[in-house]
Amino acid sequence: MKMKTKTPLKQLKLAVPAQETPITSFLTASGTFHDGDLLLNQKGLRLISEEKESRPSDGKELEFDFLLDDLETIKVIGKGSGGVVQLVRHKWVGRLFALKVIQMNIQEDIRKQIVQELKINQASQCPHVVVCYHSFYHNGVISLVLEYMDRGSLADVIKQVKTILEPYLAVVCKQVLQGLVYLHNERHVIHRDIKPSNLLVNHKGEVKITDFGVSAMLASSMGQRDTFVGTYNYMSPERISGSTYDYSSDIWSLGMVVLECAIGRFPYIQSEDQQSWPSFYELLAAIVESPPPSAPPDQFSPEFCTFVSSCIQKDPRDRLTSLELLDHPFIKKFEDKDLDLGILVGGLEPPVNFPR
Amino acid sequence: MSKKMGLLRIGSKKRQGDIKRSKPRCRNSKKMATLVEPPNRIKPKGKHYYTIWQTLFEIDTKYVPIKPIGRGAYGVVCSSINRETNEKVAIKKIGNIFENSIDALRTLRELKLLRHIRHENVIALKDVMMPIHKTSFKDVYLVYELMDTDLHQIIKSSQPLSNDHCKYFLFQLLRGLKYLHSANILHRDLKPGNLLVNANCDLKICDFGLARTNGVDGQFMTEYVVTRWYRAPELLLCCDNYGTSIDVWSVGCIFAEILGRKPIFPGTECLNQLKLIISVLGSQHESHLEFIDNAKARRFIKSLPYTRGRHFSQLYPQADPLAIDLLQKMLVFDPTKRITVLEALQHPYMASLYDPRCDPPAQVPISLDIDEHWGEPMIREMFWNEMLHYHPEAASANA
Repeated sequence: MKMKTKTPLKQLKLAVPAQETPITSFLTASGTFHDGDLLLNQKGLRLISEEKESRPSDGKELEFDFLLDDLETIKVIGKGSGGVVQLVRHKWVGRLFALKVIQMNIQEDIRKQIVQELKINQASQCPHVVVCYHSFYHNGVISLVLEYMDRGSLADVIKQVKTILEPYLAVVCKQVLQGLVYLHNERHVIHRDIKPSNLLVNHKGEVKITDFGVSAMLASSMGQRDTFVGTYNYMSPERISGSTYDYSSDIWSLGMVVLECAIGRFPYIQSEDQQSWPSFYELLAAIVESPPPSAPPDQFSPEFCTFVSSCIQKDPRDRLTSLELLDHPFIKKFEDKDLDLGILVGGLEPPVNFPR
Repeated sequence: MSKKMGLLRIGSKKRQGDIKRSKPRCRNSKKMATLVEPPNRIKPKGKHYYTIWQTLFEIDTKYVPIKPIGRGAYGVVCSSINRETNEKVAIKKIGNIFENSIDALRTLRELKLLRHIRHENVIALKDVMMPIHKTSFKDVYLVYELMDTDLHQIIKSSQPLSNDHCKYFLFQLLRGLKYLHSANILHRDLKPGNLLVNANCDLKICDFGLARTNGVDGQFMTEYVVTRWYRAPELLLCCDNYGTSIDVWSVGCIFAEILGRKPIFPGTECLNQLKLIISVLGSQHESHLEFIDNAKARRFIKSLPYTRGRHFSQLYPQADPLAIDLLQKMLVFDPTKRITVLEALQHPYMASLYDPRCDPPAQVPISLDIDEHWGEPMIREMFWNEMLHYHPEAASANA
């Protein structure tokens, strides 16, 4: 029954747009996603310029062929920013991977960011950045086959141990800094989302950076949904106040992470008695208006205190760079002591349990 | 008897341990639903199985899938025919529903609300399929009436929209919302993608996963729920108590998007969102900020650089002046001064369409008894109880 209105409407009509029109402009006849020099389909990713040069394969190539159908899902291990992450196993080889599934978005700025991340992953050759072995596109969905870090993230670690001692922190910092040197100096990329849950650990004690800046953009776009909790905790003051920012904003975030791991709580929570997090705007005001937090000198070494303060300077020009920080006395102090982070994380509960 | 669908049938499952790769399927199998064997070869009575976008659908035999039509935030959706009534429906599969209790409660909330709602401008939930086993089911299948597309697709398309289109869309949205608000329901996630439309311009509100009754139990409502671009200032500013006016703000943003064919406040972050709003509305006078109960949030708003703002007639020069006037009254920063849904329907812009006698309120206020701390057994029980409303015959068979 037609709904009643005061006066009859003239016949209004709509042309119903085809469901796939927007993305089909980026698809070839066989269903390959094509943007600029990037080609992506069920078989994997190809860069046209790379193809012409017929470059020999690099060291991270797996020794066997790879198809998306060969992966079986074991468990969802995260609904992080940017998409769902699943623990998967290669059916024939038995090897574990993390599969990150992203809905393709053809909004121009989002699409460009996705393509950029795919290219970065394709070229990534740093032992302290999570390896992306393959990318696929199928039916509107991008799948990234990532290195599986079996001890989860730094967030999982500090949930159990609460604080990390300085020697182990130095080992963590050195590896993260090496990853940042690669991102900043070789790839010319700002990560934008350095936080404990994006610093992954494996049983060998290796620490690797994951989730490049595009993921934050993706989270913004997919459903355009976010929560205040956690969004701004590690964001540098200049980003929060809307100023321009550069690589040094990642350094601020790293400093916050390191301080949190050392004192066992998020630095802007005033004391261990305070149960709840500061409200959103209290946090913003604290970050932008108050002096930066610092490590208590009666509990930590002078080297650690100056390392933290070298990262957490309100004025980005006063922060050290990732390369400079690698030479900091705090890092140098423990370099020859042969510390094994694997011993620390090996004693903890693994974040994902599944039948083998 | 309706014509039988020409569906493909796949051969039996490969033997265990067979490592030979399966041959690539024909192109059609990517687009059509494919009838397949049950996963463990035991076919339960009353169910059949289809693969849709690599997703297995276990559905009642009276439904025959046609093709996938979308991948929602929490599941795959396909169009189908109900063979008993010959009507087209949309079946949404939500897989592994108990994996995430927040998502599960969101779906449960939608089920409870939609069971009570009867309105031309709100999507109808026609069926919730009964799973085979109460104690072990993991997936939920929801059956909705099928609509042709959504307002997001319409706005994005290149077809022109006349003033009558804009007016009619807004009218239907407002009267659907009037019904919801009269039942004490806030939608809380209105956006173009949640407004389904047909080729004849009928419009229906959908996706009630975030909807909630309006504080009748005195409980402070959680913040940060609405998709950011359509989020009202009082939500962005952490106000503890809010009401129906948050939906009106979202309607204003949607109406602006219909007029301008692009989002009016496409913020990249929460702070950027507030800046965009202020850049259009202009800096707010002190008296318009009294609703902000968080002192630091109020200080933040005052700290933004001064701007005179931009009049909506500059943003939408082709729009009907009455539409501009109504938009101006909807997108008011202070929720206490924002127009209500009823006042909007009574606005001169709606005069040719609105007849109060045709819009009775909901019968009774609807209340939800959902506790956000329920564990899986309780959530499972509640889902089962909702399904029984659509399948009362299954109650006696429950063993």
